Amino acid sequence: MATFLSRSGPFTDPDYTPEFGLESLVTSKVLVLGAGGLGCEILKNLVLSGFRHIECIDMDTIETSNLNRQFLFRSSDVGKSKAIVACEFVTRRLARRGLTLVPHFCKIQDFDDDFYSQFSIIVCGLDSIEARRWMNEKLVSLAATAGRIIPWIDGGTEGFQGSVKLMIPTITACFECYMKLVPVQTTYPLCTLASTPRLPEHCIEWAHELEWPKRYPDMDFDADVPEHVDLMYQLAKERASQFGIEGVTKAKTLGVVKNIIPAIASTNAVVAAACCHECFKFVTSCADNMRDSMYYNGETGVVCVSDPYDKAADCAVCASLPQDYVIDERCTLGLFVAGATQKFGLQQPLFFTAEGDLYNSKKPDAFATDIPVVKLIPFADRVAKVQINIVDSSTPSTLKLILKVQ
Amino acid sequence: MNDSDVNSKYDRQMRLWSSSGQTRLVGSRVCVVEANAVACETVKNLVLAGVGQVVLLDSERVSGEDLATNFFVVPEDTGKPRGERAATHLGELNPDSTVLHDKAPFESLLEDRSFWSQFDCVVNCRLDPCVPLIDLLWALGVPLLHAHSIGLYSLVRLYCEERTMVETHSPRADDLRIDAVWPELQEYVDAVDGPSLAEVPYSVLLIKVYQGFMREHGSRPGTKEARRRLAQLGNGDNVEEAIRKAALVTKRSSELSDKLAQLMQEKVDLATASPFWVLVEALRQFYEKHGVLPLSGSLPDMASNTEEYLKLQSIYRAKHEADKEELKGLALQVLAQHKRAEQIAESEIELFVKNCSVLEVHRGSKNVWSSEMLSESNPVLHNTNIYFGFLALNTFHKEHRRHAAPRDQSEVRALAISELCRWETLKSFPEGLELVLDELLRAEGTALHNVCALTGGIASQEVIKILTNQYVSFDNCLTFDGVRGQTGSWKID
Repeated sequence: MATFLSRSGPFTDPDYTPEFGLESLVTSKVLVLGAGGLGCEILKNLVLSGFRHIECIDMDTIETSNLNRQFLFRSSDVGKSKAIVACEFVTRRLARRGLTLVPHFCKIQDFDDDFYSQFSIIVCGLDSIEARRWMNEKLVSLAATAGRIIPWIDGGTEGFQGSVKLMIPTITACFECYMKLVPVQTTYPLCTLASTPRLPEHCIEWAHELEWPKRYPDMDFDADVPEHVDLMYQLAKERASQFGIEGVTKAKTLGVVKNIIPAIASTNAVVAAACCHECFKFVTSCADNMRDSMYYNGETGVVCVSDPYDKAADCAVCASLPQDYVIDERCTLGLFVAGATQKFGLQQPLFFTAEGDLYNSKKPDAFATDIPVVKLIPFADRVAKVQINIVDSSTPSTLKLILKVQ
Repeated sequence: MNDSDVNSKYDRQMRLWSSSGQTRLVGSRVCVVEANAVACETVKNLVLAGVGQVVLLDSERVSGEDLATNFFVVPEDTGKPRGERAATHLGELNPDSTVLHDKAPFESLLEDRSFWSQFDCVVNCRLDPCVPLIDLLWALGVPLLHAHSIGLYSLVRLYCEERTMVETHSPRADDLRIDAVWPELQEYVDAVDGPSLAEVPYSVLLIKVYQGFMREHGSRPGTKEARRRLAQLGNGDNVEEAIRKAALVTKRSSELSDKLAQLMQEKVDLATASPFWVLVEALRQFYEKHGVLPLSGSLPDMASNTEEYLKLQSIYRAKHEADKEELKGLALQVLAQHKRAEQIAESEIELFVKNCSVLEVHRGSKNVWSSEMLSESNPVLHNTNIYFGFLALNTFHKEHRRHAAPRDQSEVRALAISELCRWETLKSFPEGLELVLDELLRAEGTALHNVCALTGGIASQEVIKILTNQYVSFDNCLTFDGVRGQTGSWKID
């Protein structure tokens, strides 16, 4: 790494200097989200890439089924915090001067803007789509409202397949822009479950969705309690034998009720390494970054391609960021509406804030248009304290304005 | 190892390769040559997956460079035997796996057939592809992977004479036989009429429409005509599904994929061929006789009531069993004709019949290099340039006993040209090769951990495919370009 960074290559930015490359590694603060299959690899990779200050968040504890890939954990660690055990292991193994690894055994939602703002870059190995969407909204809003742009790199895997996204909030496509590529989860029609089951999965979903609440009204099903899984398996098996359906096993039952996704060490290794490699290039500028996203598939041969990905024009997160709108102190509601209507090419807009409607062009008489806007909504330091939303048939997303007085 | 052992640490991977694959991993033995970062990352993934035994062959001592790139050596190991130290740290990952080390110099083992023949697969992580090793393992029939990384680039190459793959896990087209029903299915289809039309799976409706049209016109219906007729059968869920799947009436059950047709034409010596080829010969005879392949026996889920679905399922399963028995009989005949006494396991025949439409065969090559690779029409020219760069650096390293550095630029370029001219007359330097060579020289033989980890991930995945004999291997060369973040793969003949 030191030899490599001490020189420029043909794909290095012309302004690159070795001092910059090495210095950025030492001074950057990297946040790792998740200390699971990807997270363990990511922590190892980042330290061996030369990063010195790394923090890691994971709310989970170690389970036996993690051990086929989460190589920083041993059977004796089952039940302990993933973040803490992973950071301790890497610190012990790679103890070097100036290395700081800080674990956080909690949810990503437990932290505020100030916490996230301290990081130069984030590498994300979370398995939950919802958590990544939350992170995405947070990072896009930090970029849009505070001008704090924190790039992040997201990895995901499923069996032999994986993907990597390099996202620079407000500049490149955001996580939400990619959501249309996420496959919808298989669901079965209720009538199939209730009256015409054909597959073992139908019997298991019947037990899970319909029968459990009836049979055990006072007991919420918990897939992590072995007795619950046994009971669920029995219900599904009874159902199957009643209809003469074969193939209900305990492994299949658990797979369906927990929505288990197959996971292997090799795919995690590939995807985590690709994430950290992009992080290393981004921070040191030692070579160009890949295009926006990479797709990996090792099921038939080896496919690993990277492609540009455009922002989605109708993205609910980054396509409708609040924008500043400057008005005169004496600007009346009528003038403001007319101005915005013209500027954004609106047809029949509705203007509203969290407090209620401000102006509805379908009911023009219901609003007094000759009152100055500064009297209608609260301002502080010449900036509106509430956001004005505009919906209109001309645009699929909500237009958001922050008023500023000239 | 058992598929119902849900508390197993292997649960998440056995959902891919099942207990049969896991049992093969547990019983496997792999040798990894050199204990550098690519090697140790490969071994890490193999040990985690539960591969029974790994032997690290290495005679170096732990250096500062190792500490900078390899997770499986620690500062206290400095100066100690590298293979031994790495084996110790890697062995801690999984009590089910044994990681051994061997300090014998690699060169001293190049004629030792008994050493290499104990392995199911060998991974060579040195810069040198080592032609004598390729020749020896080829002769022994042991698959060999070559994997190495320098700077932003890496390569993985598979040397293996023949790979015959049955459990390819390739998506199979539904084998519904709309145009090729057998007596038991015909009987079932004929009995369905009137109100029971609303209760049966869509495949039955498709068969009815297909046969009706055939009777009237003596030819197959098109998709549009089939949709029109299906729409008259009511508006149940099964009719809706049938309309969506109407194109199936145009599918010829007798049609073979090009790949499979070619496979059946291959000339093999059946007196010595593996059970796979005996079964392929049986398959050829079966197809010649019946004009269709043996039935796989699996039905997709189709809207219908439970009873009718299960009835239909048992008809397809019975036919599958009958076809399987017939294929088995043919295979036994082939064996008898060639005076072979062995049997083919029932489970092997079952897998073969289930997958007979998606079989894969790869024939490898011992050549390190082939002349077509740098032609203008090569779609992965940039990636073959990287491969070629590794070969040029290896030649330099052999001559100078050190890694090429930026100051060696002109010599490495000259080497590259003379190397290329051994294979073909060059009109010009291949486009982009100079940049790739410069990028390789920048690292002066050193590696970046992330590129090593990625390469070890790919190499271990390919070893697992070989050991489990499941999924489809890459065929047979790839390089990773760490600038663009992608691999390119091509076949060297």
